[in-house]
Amino acid sequence: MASSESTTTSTTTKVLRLKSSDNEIFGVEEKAALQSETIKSLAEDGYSEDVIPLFNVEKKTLAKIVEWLNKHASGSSKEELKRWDADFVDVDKDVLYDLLLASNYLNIEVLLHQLAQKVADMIKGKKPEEIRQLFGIKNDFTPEEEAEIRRENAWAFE
Amino acid sequence: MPESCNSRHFSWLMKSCFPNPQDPTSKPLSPNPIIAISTTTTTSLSSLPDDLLLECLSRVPSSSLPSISLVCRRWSLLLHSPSFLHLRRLHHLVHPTIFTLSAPFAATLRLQNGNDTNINDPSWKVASCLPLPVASLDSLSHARLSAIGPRIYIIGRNEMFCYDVWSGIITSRSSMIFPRKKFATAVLSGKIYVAGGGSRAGAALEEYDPETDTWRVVSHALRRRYGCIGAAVDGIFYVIGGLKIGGALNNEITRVATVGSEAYVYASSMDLFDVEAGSWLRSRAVPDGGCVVAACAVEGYVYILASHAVELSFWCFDARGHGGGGGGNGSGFREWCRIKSPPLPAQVRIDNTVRFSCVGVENKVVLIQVSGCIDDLLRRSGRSVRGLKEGLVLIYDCTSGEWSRGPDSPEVIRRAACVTVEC
Repeated sequence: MASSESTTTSTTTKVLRLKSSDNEIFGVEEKAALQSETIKSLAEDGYSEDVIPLFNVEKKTLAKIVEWLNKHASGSSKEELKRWDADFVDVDKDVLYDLLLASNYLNIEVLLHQLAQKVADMIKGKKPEEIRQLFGIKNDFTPEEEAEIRRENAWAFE
Repeated sequence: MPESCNSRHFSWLMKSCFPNPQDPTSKPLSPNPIIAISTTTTTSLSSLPDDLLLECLSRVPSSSLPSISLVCRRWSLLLHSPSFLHLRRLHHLVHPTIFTLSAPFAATLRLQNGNDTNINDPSWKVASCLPLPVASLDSLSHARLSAIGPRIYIIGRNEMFCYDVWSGIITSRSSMIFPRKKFATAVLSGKIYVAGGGSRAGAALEEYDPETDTWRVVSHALRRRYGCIGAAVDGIFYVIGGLKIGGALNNEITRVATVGSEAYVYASSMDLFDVEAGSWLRSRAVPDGGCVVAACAVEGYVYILASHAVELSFWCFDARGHGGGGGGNGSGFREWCRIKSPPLPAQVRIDNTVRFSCVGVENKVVLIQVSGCIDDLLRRSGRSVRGLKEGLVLIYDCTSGEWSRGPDSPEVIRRAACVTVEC
Protein backbone atom coordinates (compact mmCIF):
# COMPACT_ATOMS: atom_id res chain seq x y z
CA MET A 1 0.00 0.00 0.00
CA ALA A 2 1.27 3.37 -0.98
CA SER A 3 -0.97 5.37 1.32
CA SER A 4 1.62 5.83 4.06
CA GLU A 5 3.57 8.55 2.25
CA SER A 6 0.60 10.10 0.51
CA THR A 7 -0.52 13.58 1.41
CA THR A 8 -4.12 12.63 2.10
CA THR A 9 -5.61 13.96 5.28
CA SER A 10 -7.27 10.75 6.31
CA THR A 11 -5.07 7.79 6.98
CA THR A 12 -7.90 5.41 6.13
CA THR A 13 -8.19 6.76 2.59
CA LYS A 14 -6.87 4.27 0.12
CA VAL A 15 -4.85 5.58 -2.79
CA LEU A 16 -4.64 3.79 -6.11
CA ARG A 17 -1.58 4.19 -8.26
CA LEU A 18 -2.26 4.63 -11.96
CA LYS A 19 0.51 4.23 -14.50
CA SER A 20 0.31 6.00 -17.85
CA SER A 21 1.48 4.44 -21.11
CA ASP A 22 4.68 6.47 -20.80
CA ASN A 23 5.29 5.12 -17.30
CA GLU A 24 4.28 8.09 -15.18
CA ILE A 25 2.59 7.13 -11.94
CA PHE A 26 -0.33 9.08 -10.50
CA GLY A 27 -1.71 8.52 -7.03
CA VAL A 28 -5.49 8.92 -6.90
CA GLU A 29 -7.85 8.41 -3.99
CA GLU A 30 -9.82 5.25 -4.47
CA LYS A 31 -13.15 7.05 -4.24
CA ALA A 32 -12.15 9.33 -7.14
CA ALA A 33 -10.48 6.64 -9.22
CA LEU A 34 -13.42 4.26 -9.07
CA GLN A 35 -15.52 6.65 -11.15
CA SER A 36 -13.75 4.89 -13.97
CA GLU A 37 -15.37 1.54 -14.61
CA THR A 38 -12.14 0.28 -16.16
CA ILE A 39 -10.09 1.13 -13.08
CA LYS A 40 -12.83 -0.34 -10.91
CA SER A 41 -12.70 -3.69 -12.62
CA LEU A 42 -8.90 -3.70 -12.69
CA ALA A 43 -8.92 -2.93 -8.97
CA GLU A 44 -11.35 -5.77 -8.39
CA ASP A 45 -9.03 -8.05 -10.33
CA GLY A 46 -6.40 -7.51 -7.69
CA TYR A 47 -4.36 -4.73 -9.23
CA SER A 48 -5.19 -2.38 -6.37
CA GLU A 49 -2.24 -3.40 -4.22
CA ASP A 50 0.11 -2.69 -7.07
CA VAL A 51 0.36 -0.17 -9.86
CA ILE A 52 -2.61 -0.15 -12.25
CA PRO A 53 -1.26 0.00 -15.80
CA LEU A 54 -3.26 2.11 -18.26
CA PHE A 55 -1.68 1.25 -21.58
CA ASN A 56 -3.84 3.54 -23.66
CA VAL A 57 -3.43 6.81 -21.80
CA GLU A 58 -0.42 9.12 -22.01
CA LYS A 59 0.69 11.12 -18.97
CA LYS A 60 -0.47 14.51 -20.25
CA THR A 61 -3.94 13.09 -20.81
CA LEU A 62 -3.95 11.08 -17.62
CA ALA A 63 -3.02 14.20 -15.66
CA LYS A 64 -6.16 15.91 -16.99
CA ILE A 65 -8.29 12.83 -16.28
CA VAL A 66 -6.98 12.64 -12.72
CA GLU A 67 -7.80 16.32 -12.29
CA TRP A 68 -11.38 15.61 -13.41
CA LEU A 69 -11.72 12.53 -11.19
CA ASN A 70 -10.53 14.45 -8.15
CA LYS A 71 -12.83 17.38 -8.79
CA HIS A 72 -15.83 15.15 -9.28
CA ALA A 73 -15.13 13.31 -6.03
CA SER A 74 -14.60 16.50 -4.05
CA GLY A 75 -18.23 17.12 -3.19
CA SER A 76 -18.43 20.47 -4.99
CA SER A 77 -21.83 22.00 -5.50
CA LYS A 78 -23.70 21.30 -8.73
CA GLU A 79 -23.35 24.87 -9.94
CA GLU A 80 -19.67 25.00 -9.20
CA LEU A 81 -19.11 21.68 -10.92
CA LYS A 82 -20.98 22.92 -13.97
CA ARG A 83 -18.76 25.98 -14.26
CA TRP A 84 -15.66 23.92 -13.65
CA ASP A 85 -16.66 21.35 -16.30
CA ALA A 86 -17.25 24.07 -18.89
CA ASP A 87 -13.69 25.31 -18.31
CA PHE A 88 -12.34 21.78 -18.28
CA VAL A 89 -13.61 20.88 -21.76
CA ASP A 90 -12.54 24.26 -23.16
CA VAL A 91 -9.27 22.91 -24.51
CA ASP A 92 -7.46 22.54 -27.82
CA LYS A 93 -9.03 20.12 -30.24
CA ASP A 94 -6.26 17.51 -30.08
CA VAL A 95 -6.43 17.49 -26.30
CA LEU A 96 -10.18 17.09 -26.57
CA TYR A 97 -9.86 14.03 -28.81
CA ASP A 98 -7.24 12.46 -26.54
CA LEU A 99 -9.55 13.03 -23.58
CA LEU A 100 -12.41 11.46 -25.53
CA LEU A 101 -10.35 8.37 -26.31
CA ALA A 102 -9.12 8.16 -22.72
CA SER A 103 -12.55 8.62 -21.13
CA ASN A 104 -13.87 5.95 -23.46
CA TYR A 105 -11.04 3.57 -22.62
CA LEU A 106 -11.37 4.29 -18.91
CA ASN A 107 -15.14 4.10 -19.23
CA ILE A 108 -16.01 7.31 -17.43
CA GLU A 109 -19.51 7.82 -18.78
CA VAL A 110 -20.13 11.32 -17.40
CA LEU A 111 -16.89 12.74 -18.72
CA LEU A 112 -17.34 11.06 -22.08
CA HIS A 113 -20.75 12.68 -22.44
CA GLN A 114 -19.39 16.10 -21.54
CA LEU A 115 -16.63 15.81 -24.13
CA ALA A 116 -18.94 14.49 -26.86
CA GLN A 117 -21.33 17.36 -26.15
CA LYS A 118 -18.42 19.79 -26.48
CA VAL A 119 -17.65 18.45 -29.96
CA ALA A 120 -21.35 18.60 -30.86
CA ASP A 121 -21.48 22.23 -29.71
CA MET A 122 -18.53 23.02 -31.97
CA ILE A 123 -20.42 21.58 -34.95
CA LYS A 124 -23.65 23.36 -34.12
CA GLY A 125 -24.78 26.04 -36.55
CA LYS A 126 -21.91 25.52 -39.00
CA LYS A 127 -22.05 24.90 -42.71
CA PRO A 128 -20.48 21.70 -44.09
CA GLU A 129 -17.45 23.58 -45.42
CA GLU A 130 -16.90 25.28 -42.06
CA ILE A 131 -17.12 21.92 -40.30
CA ARG A 132 -14.55 20.41 -42.67
CA GLN A 133 -12.20 23.33 -42.08
CA LEU A 134 -12.60 23.24 -38.31
CA PHE A 135 -11.87 19.54 -38.01
CA GLY A 136 -9.55 19.08 -40.98
CA ILE A 137 -11.87 16.72 -42.81
CA LYS A 138 -11.44 15.96 -46.49
CA ASN A 139 -14.50 16.26 -48.69
CA ASP A 140 -14.62 12.85 -50.38
CA PHE A 141 -17.87 13.31 -52.27
CA THR A 142 -17.47 13.46 -56.03
CA PRO A 143 -18.54 16.78 -57.59
CA GLU A 144 -21.43 14.92 -59.24
CA GLU A 145 -22.60 13.51 -55.92
CA GLU A 146 -22.35 16.91 -54.31
CA ALA A 147 -24.38 18.54 -57.05
CA GLU A 148 -26.98 15.81 -56.69
CA ILE A 149 -27.19 16.22 -52.93
CA ARG A 150 -27.36 19.99 -53.13
CA ARG A 151 -30.17 19.80 -55.61
CA GLU A 152 -32.12 17.47 -53.37
CA ASN A 153 -31.31 19.05 -50.07
CA ALA A 154 -34.16 21.39 -49.63
CA TRP A 155 -35.99 21.42 -46.41
CA ALA A 156 -35.22 19.89 -43.10
CA PHE A 157 -37.40 20.59 -40.14
CA GLU A 158 -36.29 20.99 -36.61
CA MET B 1 -21.71 0.18 -39.31
CA PRO B 2 -22.11 -2.85 -37.09
CA GLU B 3 -24.98 -2.80 -34.63
CA SER B 4 -22.54 -3.60 -31.88
CA CYS B 5 -21.42 -0.02 -31.50
CA ASN B 6 -24.77 0.58 -29.85
CA SER B 7 -23.27 -1.02 -26.86
CA ARG B 8 -20.77 1.13 -25.15
CA HIS B 9 -20.12 -1.55 -22.64
CA PHE B 10 -19.32 -4.08 -25.25
CA SER B 11 -16.98 -1.74 -27.05
CA TRP B 12 -15.37 -0.83 -23.79
CA LEU B 13 -14.89 -4.49 -22.99
CA MET B 14 -13.20 -5.01 -26.32
CA LYS B 15 -10.94 -2.05 -25.78
CA SER B 16 -9.93 -3.08 -22.34
CA CYS B 17 -9.07 -6.56 -23.56
CA PHE B 18 -7.08 -5.48 -26.56
CA PRO B 19 -4.75 -2.56 -27.11
CA ASN B 20 -6.25 0.17 -29.23
CA PRO B 21 -5.05 -0.59 -32.77
CA GLN B 22 -5.55 3.05 -33.74
CA ASP B 23 -3.36 4.30 -31.00
CA PRO B 24 0.30 3.97 -31.98
CA THR B 25 1.35 4.26 -28.36
CA SER B 26 -0.72 1.32 -27.21
CA LYS B 27 1.11 -1.81 -26.31
CA PRO B 28 0.21 -5.41 -25.78
CA LEU B 29 -0.82 -6.37 -22.27
CA SER B 30 2.66 -7.09 -21.11
CA PRO B 31 4.30 -5.51 -18.08
CA ASN B 32 7.59 -5.10 -19.89
CA PRO B 33 7.09 -3.85 -23.40
CA ILE B 34 9.92 -4.87 -25.67
CA ILE B 35 9.99 -1.65 -27.61
CA ALA B 36 9.24 1.64 -25.93
CA ILE B 37 7.40 3.77 -28.45
CA SER B 38 7.45 7.43 -27.66
CA THR B 39 5.89 8.89 -30.78
CA THR B 40 3.35 11.59 -30.18
CA THR B 41 0.96 11.65 -33.09
CA THR B 42 -1.78 14.22 -33.10
CA THR B 43 -5.25 12.79 -32.75
CA SER B 44 -7.85 14.17 -35.10
CA LEU B 45 -11.60 13.91 -35.11
CA SER B 46 -11.37 11.65 -38.13
CA SER B 47 -9.08 9.25 -36.28
CA LEU B 48 -11.70 8.59 -33.62
CA PRO B 49 -13.40 5.20 -33.90
CA ASP B 50 -16.97 5.13 -35.21
CA ASP B 51 -18.61 4.70 -31.82
CA LEU B 52 -16.90 7.77 -30.37
CA LEU B 53 -17.61 9.88 -33.43
CA LEU B 54 -21.24 8.75 -33.17
CA GLU B 55 -21.31 9.86 -29.54
CA CYS B 56 -20.36 13.35 -30.71
CA LEU B 57 -22.45 13.59 -33.86
CA SER B 58 -25.57 12.19 -32.22
CA ARG B 59 -25.63 15.18 -29.86
CA VAL B 60 -25.89 18.01 -32.36
CA PRO B 61 -29.21 19.87 -32.59
CA SER B 62 -31.60 18.78 -35.36
CA SER B 63 -30.90 21.97 -37.30
CA SER B 64 -27.29 20.86 -37.80
CA LEU B 65 -28.12 17.40 -39.15
CA PRO B 66 -28.38 18.45 -42.82
CA SER B 67 -24.86 19.91 -42.56
CA ILE B 68 -23.51 16.71 -41.04
CA SER B 69 -24.83 14.63 -43.93
CA LEU B 70 -22.83 16.80 -46.34
CA VAL B 71 -19.44 16.87 -44.62
CA CYS B 72 -18.04 13.58 -45.94
CA ARG B 73 -19.02 10.03 -46.80
CA ARG B 74 -18.23 8.63 -43.39
CA TRP B 75 -20.38 11.20 -41.59
CA SER B 76 -23.21 10.63 -44.01
CA LEU B 77 -23.03 6.88 -43.42
CA LEU B 78 -22.95 7.36 -39.65
CA LEU B 79 -26.00 9.62 -39.81
CA HIS B 80 -27.93 6.87 -41.56
CA SER B 81 -26.81 4.05 -39.29
CA PRO B 82 -29.29 2.44 -36.88
CA SER B 83 -26.97 3.40 -34.02
CA PHE B 84 -27.47 7.07 -34.74
CA LEU B 85 -31.24 6.87 -34.17
CA HIS B 86 -30.67 4.71 -31.12
CA LEU B 87 -28.28 7.25 -29.59
CA ARG B 88 -30.52 10.22 -30.35
CA ARG B 89 -33.39 8.45 -28.62
CA LEU B 90 -31.09 7.81 -25.68
CA HIS B 91 -30.13 11.50 -25.54
CA HIS B 92 -33.79 12.56 -25.74
CA LEU B 93 -33.16 14.35 -29.01
CA VAL B 94 -35.87 12.51 -30.91
CA HIS B 95 -39.35 14.01 -30.87
CA PRO B 96 -42.37 12.47 -32.53
CA THR B 97 -43.61 14.99 -35.05
CA ILE B 98 -46.75 14.97 -37.17
CA PHE B 99 -45.94 15.43 -40.84
CA THR B 100 -48.72 16.27 -43.29
CA LEU B 101 -48.27 16.34 -47.02
CA SER B 102 -50.47 17.83 -49.66
CA ALA B 103 -47.90 17.52 -52.42
CA PRO B 104 -45.81 19.53 -52.86
CA PHE B 105 -46.75 21.37 -49.66
CA ALA B 106 -45.88 19.97 -46.30
CA ALA B 107 -46.36 21.01 -42.70
CA THR B 108 -45.26 19.69 -39.34
CA LEU B 109 -46.64 19.80 -35.83
CA ARG B 110 -44.88 18.87 -32.64
CA LEU B 111 -47.13 18.45 -29.65
CA GLN B 112 -46.36 19.56 -26.17
CA ASN B 113 -44.78 16.85 -24.18
CA GLY B 114 -45.08 16.45 -20.44
CA ASN B 115 -41.34 16.54 -19.81
CA ASP B 116 -40.41 18.74 -22.72
CA THR B 117 -40.45 22.36 -21.69
CA ASN B 118 -38.95 23.65 -24.92
CA ILE B 119 -42.26 23.75 -26.71
CA ASN B 120 -44.48 26.31 -25.09
CA ASP B 121 -47.11 26.66 -27.73
CA PRO B 122 -47.40 23.90 -30.29
CA SER B 123 -47.98 25.29 -33.74
CA TRP B 124 -47.75 24.11 -37.31
CA LYS B 125 -44.68 24.85 -39.36
CA VAL B 126 -45.31 25.06 -43.06
CA ALA B 127 -42.66 24.19 -45.59
CA SER B 128 -42.93 26.28 -48.67
CA CYS B 129 -42.65 23.37 -51.02
CA LEU B 130 -40.96 19.98 -51.07
CA PRO B 131 -38.64 19.53 -54.06
CA LEU B 132 -40.69 16.80 -55.65
CA PRO B 133 -40.57 16.43 -59.45
CA VAL B 134 -43.48 18.34 -60.97
CA ALA B 135 -44.24 15.37 -63.20
CA SER B 136 -44.79 13.24 -60.10
CA LEU B 137 -47.33 15.48 -58.39
CA ASP B 138 -50.26 13.81 -60.12
CA SER B 139 -49.13 10.39 -58.95
CA LEU B 140 -48.71 11.79 -55.44
CA SER B 141 -52.11 13.48 -55.24
CA HIS B 142 -53.50 10.59 -53.20
CA ALA B 143 -50.22 9.49 -51.69
CA ARG B 144 -50.11 7.62 -48.43
CA LEU B 145 -47.28 8.11 -45.98
CA SER B 146 -45.27 5.66 -43.91
CA ALA B 147 -42.42 6.56 -41.59
CA ILE B 148 -39.49 4.41 -40.55
CA GLY B 149 -37.38 6.25 -38.01
CA PRO B 150 -36.57 9.69 -39.45
CA ARG B 151 -37.48 8.71 -43.01
CA ILE B 152 -40.88 9.34 -44.54
CA TYR B 153 -41.93 7.21 -47.48
CA ILE B 154 -44.27 9.08 -49.78
CA ILE B 155 -46.11 6.27 -51.54
CA GLY B 156 -47.81 7.53 -54.69
CA ARG B 157 -49.96 5.59 -57.13
CA ASN B 158 -47.01 4.54 -59.27
CA GLU B 159 -44.08 6.38 -57.75
CA MET B 160 -42.44 6.46 -54.37
CA PHE B 161 -40.10 8.91 -52.71
CA CYS B 162 -38.15 8.74 -49.51
CA TYR B 163 -37.82 11.99 -47.62
CA ASP B 164 -35.04 11.90 -45.08
CA VAL B 165 -36.13 14.37 -42.44
CA TRP B 166 -32.66 14.67 -40.91
CA SER B 167 -30.71 15.44 -44.03
CA GLY B 168 -33.61 17.03 -45.90
CA ILE B 169 -32.84 14.83 -48.89
CA ILE B 170 -35.57 13.38 -51.08
CA THR B 171 -34.72 10.35 -53.18
CA SER B 172 -36.76 8.34 -55.63
CA ARG B 173 -37.49 4.72 -54.63
CA SER B 174 -39.09 1.71 -56.28
CA SER B 175 -42.82 2.05 -56.74
CA MET B 176 -45.36 -0.51 -55.60
CA ILE B 177 -45.84 -3.48 -57.95
CA PHE B 178 -49.51 -2.56 -58.41
CA PRO B 179 -50.73 1.02 -58.70
CA ARG B 180 -52.96 1.89 -55.76
CA LYS B 181 -55.01 4.81 -54.54
CA LYS B 182 -56.52 5.25 -51.10
CA PHE B 183 -54.90 2.10 -49.80
CA ALA B 184 -53.97 0.93 -46.31
CA THR B 185 -50.36 1.20 -45.19
CA ALA B 186 -48.46 0.54 -41.99
CA VAL B 187 -44.92 -0.19 -40.82
CA LEU B 188 -44.02 -3.42 -39.05
CA SER B 189 -40.47 -4.44 -38.09
CA GLY B 190 -38.93 -1.84 -40.36
CA LYS B 191 -40.90 -2.86 -43.43
CA ILE B 192 -43.83 -1.17 -45.12
CA TYR B 193 -47.05 -3.08 -45.84
CA VAL B 194 -49.76 -1.97 -48.24
CA ALA B 195 -53.15 -3.48 -49.04
CA GLY B 196 -56.25 -2.52 -50.99
CA GLY B 197 -56.79 0.56 -53.07
CA GLY B 198 -57.13 -0.57 -56.64
CA SER B 199 -58.69 -3.15 -58.90
CA ARG B 200 -55.42 -3.98 -60.58
CA ALA B 201 -53.82 -4.64 -57.25
CA GLY B 202 -56.74 -6.91 -56.51
CA ALA B 203 -56.22 -8.62 -53.22
CA ALA B 204 -52.43 -8.45 -53.31
CA LEU B 205 -50.76 -7.43 -50.07
CA GLU B 206 -47.30 -6.00 -50.71
CA GLU B 207 -44.27 -5.65 -48.51
CA TYR B 208 -41.48 -3.13 -49.01
CA ASP B 209 -37.99 -3.68 -47.69
CA PRO B 210 -36.13 -0.34 -47.46
CA GLU B 211 -32.77 -2.13 -47.20
CA THR B 212 -33.07 -3.64 -50.65
CA ASP B 213 -35.56 -1.11 -52.10
CA THR B 214 -37.84 -3.91 -53.30
CA TRP B 215 -41.54 -4.66 -53.16
CA ARG B 216 -42.98 -8.17 -53.13
CA VAL B 217 -46.43 -9.66 -52.80
CA VAL B 218 -46.61 -11.54 -49.51
CA SER B 219 -50.26 -12.52 -49.32
CA HIS B 220 -53.73 -12.01 -50.71
CA ALA B 221 -56.35 -10.19 -48.71
CA LEU B 222 -59.70 -11.61 -47.75
CA ARG B 223 -61.50 -8.50 -48.89
CA ARG B 224 -60.60 -6.17 -51.72
CA ARG B 225 -60.95 -2.79 -50.13
CA TYR B 226 -60.74 0.74 -51.49
CA GLY B 227 -60.36 3.79 -49.27
CA CYS B 228 -59.14 1.67 -46.41
CA ILE B 229 -56.83 2.61 -43.52
CA GLY B 230 -53.80 0.75 -42.23
CA ALA B 231 -52.54 0.36 -38.66
CA ALA B 232 -49.96 -1.86 -36.97
CA VAL B 233 -49.74 -3.35 -33.48
CA ASP B 234 -47.63 -6.27 -32.22
CA GLY B 235 -46.85 -7.87 -35.57
CA ILE B 236 -50.37 -7.48 -36.96
CA PHE B 237 -51.21 -5.34 -39.98
CA TYR B 238 -54.79 -4.04 -39.67
CA VAL B 239 -56.63 -3.22 -42.89
CA ILE B 240 -59.58 -1.17 -41.78
CA GLY B 241 -62.81 0.04 -43.38
CA GLY B 242 -63.23 1.34 -46.89
CA LEU B 243 -65.47 0.21 -49.70
CA LYS B 244 -65.66 -2.97 -51.69
CA ILE B 245 -63.98 -3.07 -55.06
CA GLY B 246 -66.29 -4.93 -57.39
CA GLY B 247 -66.53 -5.99 -61.03
CA ALA B 248 -62.83 -6.08 -61.66
CA LEU B 249 -63.31 -6.98 -65.30
CA ASN B 250 -61.65 -3.81 -66.51
CA ASN B 251 -59.06 -1.58 -64.99
CA GLU B 252 -61.51 0.97 -63.71
CA ILE B 253 -62.51 0.97 -60.13
CA THR B 254 -66.20 0.39 -59.78
CA ARG B 255 -67.87 0.60 -56.47
CA VAL B 256 -70.74 -1.55 -55.45
CA ALA B 257 -73.84 0.46 -54.73
CA THR B 258 -73.74 1.40 -51.09
CA VAL B 259 -77.24 0.10 -50.53
CA GLY B 260 -75.99 -3.47 -50.43
CA SER B 261 -75.42 -4.91 -47.01
CA GLU B 262 -72.10 -6.29 -48.21
CA ALA B 263 -70.70 -2.80 -48.66
CA TYR B 264 -71.40 -2.12 -45.02
CA VAL B 265 -69.43 -5.16 -44.03
CA TYR B 266 -66.38 -3.54 -45.61
CA ALA B 267 -66.91 -0.11 -44.14
CA SER B 268 -67.43 -1.44 -40.64
CA SER B 269 -64.81 -4.15 -40.33
CA MET B 270 -61.10 -4.73 -40.20
CA ASP B 271 -58.95 -7.56 -41.50
CA LEU B 272 -55.94 -8.71 -39.51
CA PHE B 273 -52.78 -9.97 -41.14
CA ASP B 274 -50.12 -11.66 -39.03
CA VAL B 275 -46.94 -10.53 -40.75
CA GLU B 276 -44.58 -13.08 -39.26
CA ALA B 277 -46.86 -16.08 -39.76
CA GLY B 278 -48.00 -14.75 -43.13
CA SER B 279 -51.59 -15.60 -42.33
CA TRP B 280 -54.89 -13.82 -41.82
CA LEU B 281 -56.63 -13.89 -38.47
CA ARG B 282 -60.34 -13.64 -37.83
CA SER B 283 -61.70 -10.32 -39.07
CA ARG B 284 -63.36 -8.01 -36.58
CA ALA B 285 -66.47 -5.91 -37.00
CA VAL B 286 -66.70 -2.39 -35.62
CA PRO B 287 -69.42 -2.49 -32.95
CA ASP B 288 -72.87 -1.08 -33.69
CA GLY B 289 -72.28 -1.22 -37.43
CA GLY B 290 -70.46 2.11 -37.61
CA CYS B 291 -68.59 3.05 -40.78
CA VAL B 292 -64.92 3.71 -40.20
CA VAL B 293 -64.04 7.38 -40.65
CA ALA B 294 -60.52 7.36 -39.28
CA ALA B 295 -58.25 4.95 -37.46
CA CYS B 296 -54.76 4.65 -36.02
CA ALA B 297 -52.77 2.63 -33.53
CA VAL B 298 -51.47 3.96 -30.22
CA GLU B 299 -49.56 2.00 -27.59
CA GLY B 300 -51.04 -1.41 -28.35
CA TYR B 301 -54.57 -0.26 -29.15
CA VAL B 302 -56.33 0.40 -32.43
CA TYR B 303 -58.49 3.53 -32.22
CA ILE B 304 -61.39 3.92 -34.59
CA LEU B 305 -63.69 6.86 -35.22
CA ALA B 306 -66.94 5.49 -36.66
CA SER B 307 -69.88 7.24 -38.23
CA HIS B 308 -73.39 5.96 -37.61
CA ALA B 309 -76.66 7.11 -39.06
CA VAL B 310 -76.73 10.32 -37.05
CA GLU B 311 -73.75 10.35 -34.78
CA LEU B 312 -70.07 9.62 -34.34
CA SER B 313 -68.58 7.10 -31.98
CA PHE B 314 -65.00 6.49 -30.90
CA TRP B 315 -63.70 3.05 -30.04
CA CYS B 316 -60.53 1.36 -28.97
CA PHE B 317 -59.59 -2.23 -29.67
CA ASP B 318 -57.12 -3.85 -27.33
CA ALA B 319 -54.64 -5.32 -29.79
CA ARG B 320 -51.86 -6.21 -27.40
CA GLY B 321 -50.49 -9.75 -27.28
CA HIS B 322 -52.53 -11.46 -29.94
CA GLY B 323 -51.61 -14.88 -28.57
CA GLY B 324 -48.18 -15.17 -30.13
CA GLY B 325 -49.31 -15.25 -33.73
CA GLY B 326 -48.70 -18.54 -35.48
CA GLY B 327 -51.85 -18.41 -37.54
CA GLY B 328 -54.25 -18.97 -34.67
CA ASN B 329 -57.68 -17.46 -34.72
CA GLY B 330 -56.50 -14.57 -32.62
CA SER B 331 -58.54 -15.60 -29.63
CA GLY B 332 -56.05 -13.84 -27.40
CA PHE B 333 -57.50 -10.45 -28.34
CA ARG B 334 -59.64 -8.60 -25.94
CA GLU B 335 -62.69 -6.72 -27.03
CA TRP B 336 -63.80 -3.31 -28.16
CA CYS B 337 -64.32 -0.53 -25.72
CA ARG B 338 -66.34 2.57 -26.44
CA ILE B 339 -64.61 5.73 -25.30
CA LYS B 340 -65.39 9.42 -25.20
CA SER B 341 -66.38 10.78 -28.61
CA PRO B 342 -64.54 13.78 -30.05
CA PRO B 343 -66.05 17.15 -29.08
CA LEU B 344 -67.99 17.66 -32.29
CA PRO B 345 -71.70 18.49 -32.40
CA ALA B 346 -73.47 15.50 -30.93
CA GLN B 347 -75.51 14.76 -33.99
CA VAL B 348 -73.29 15.02 -36.99
CA ARG B 349 -73.00 12.40 -39.63
CA ILE B 350 -69.70 12.60 -41.43
CA ASP B 351 -70.25 12.43 -45.19
CA ASN B 352 -67.77 12.32 -48.03
CA THR B 353 -67.11 16.05 -47.98
CA VAL B 354 -65.68 16.01 -44.49
CA ARG B 355 -62.69 13.78 -43.98
CA PHE B 356 -60.47 13.05 -41.05
CA SER B 357 -57.04 11.58 -40.85
CA CYS B 358 -55.83 10.07 -37.65
CA VAL B 359 -52.30 9.57 -36.34
CA GLY B 360 -50.88 8.28 -33.11
CA VAL B 361 -48.31 10.47 -31.33
CA GLU B 362 -46.86 8.90 -28.20
CA ASN B 363 -49.91 8.32 -26.01
CA LYS B 364 -52.24 10.52 -28.04
CA VAL B 365 -54.61 10.11 -30.93
CA VAL B 366 -54.54 13.16 -33.16
CA LEU B 367 -57.56 13.63 -35.38
CA ILE B 368 -56.88 16.00 -38.27
CA GLN B 369 -59.70 17.24 -40.46
CA VAL B 370 -58.09 17.00 -43.87
CA SER B 371 -60.99 18.19 -45.99
CA GLY B 372 -64.43 19.72 -45.79
CA CYS B 373 -65.95 21.84 -43.08
CA ILE B 374 -68.21 20.73 -40.28
CA ASP B 375 -69.97 24.10 -40.28
CA ASP B 376 -70.98 23.47 -43.89
CA LEU B 377 -72.25 20.07 -42.89
CA LEU B 378 -74.36 21.60 -40.15
CA ARG B 379 -75.58 24.44 -42.34
CA ARG B 380 -76.78 21.98 -44.93
CA SER B 381 -78.87 20.24 -42.34
CA GLY B 382 -80.31 23.62 -41.34
CA ARG B 383 -78.44 24.10 -38.10
CA SER B 384 -76.53 27.05 -36.81
CA VAL B 385 -72.83 27.37 -37.40
CA ARG B 386 -70.59 26.51 -34.48
CA GLY B 387 -67.25 27.88 -35.63
CA LEU B 388 -65.84 24.47 -36.45
CA LYS B 389 -64.04 25.55 -39.53
CA GLU B 390 -61.71 23.63 -41.76
CA GLY B 391 -58.45 22.14 -40.61
CA LEU B 392 -59.77 21.20 -37.19
CA VAL B 393 -57.28 19.31 -35.03
CA LEU B 394 -58.53 17.34 -32.02
CA ILE B 395 -56.26 15.49 -29.63
CA TYR B 396 -57.29 12.54 -27.48
CA ASP B 397 -55.05 11.79 -24.55
CA CYS B 398 -55.25 8.00 -24.16
CA THR B 399 -54.01 8.18 -20.57
CA SER B 400 -56.44 10.76 -19.21
CA GLY B 401 -59.22 9.88 -21.64
CA GLU B 402 -59.82 13.54 -22.44
CA TRP B 403 -60.07 15.45 -25.72
CA SER B 404 -58.50 18.81 -26.36
CA ARG B 405 -58.28 21.05 -29.36
CA GLY B 406 -54.96 21.45 -31.15
CA PRO B 407 -53.84 24.25 -33.46
CA ASP B 408 -55.78 24.27 -36.75
CA SER B 409 -53.85 22.79 -39.63
CA PRO B 410 -52.51 25.32 -42.16
CA GLU B 411 -54.74 26.37 -45.02
CA VAL B 412 -52.39 25.26 -47.80
CA ILE B 413 -52.52 21.74 -46.50
CA ARG B 414 -55.70 20.27 -47.93
CA ARG B 415 -56.59 16.63 -48.45
CA ALA B 416 -53.35 15.86 -46.74
CA ALA B 417 -51.79 12.55 -45.95
CA CYS B 418 -50.52 12.40 -42.38
CA VAL B 419 -47.89 10.43 -40.53
CA THR B 420 -45.89 10.63 -37.32
CA VAL B 421 -42.13 10.71 -37.77
CA GLU B 422 -39.29 10.57 -35.27
CA CYS B 423 -36.88 13.41 -35.75
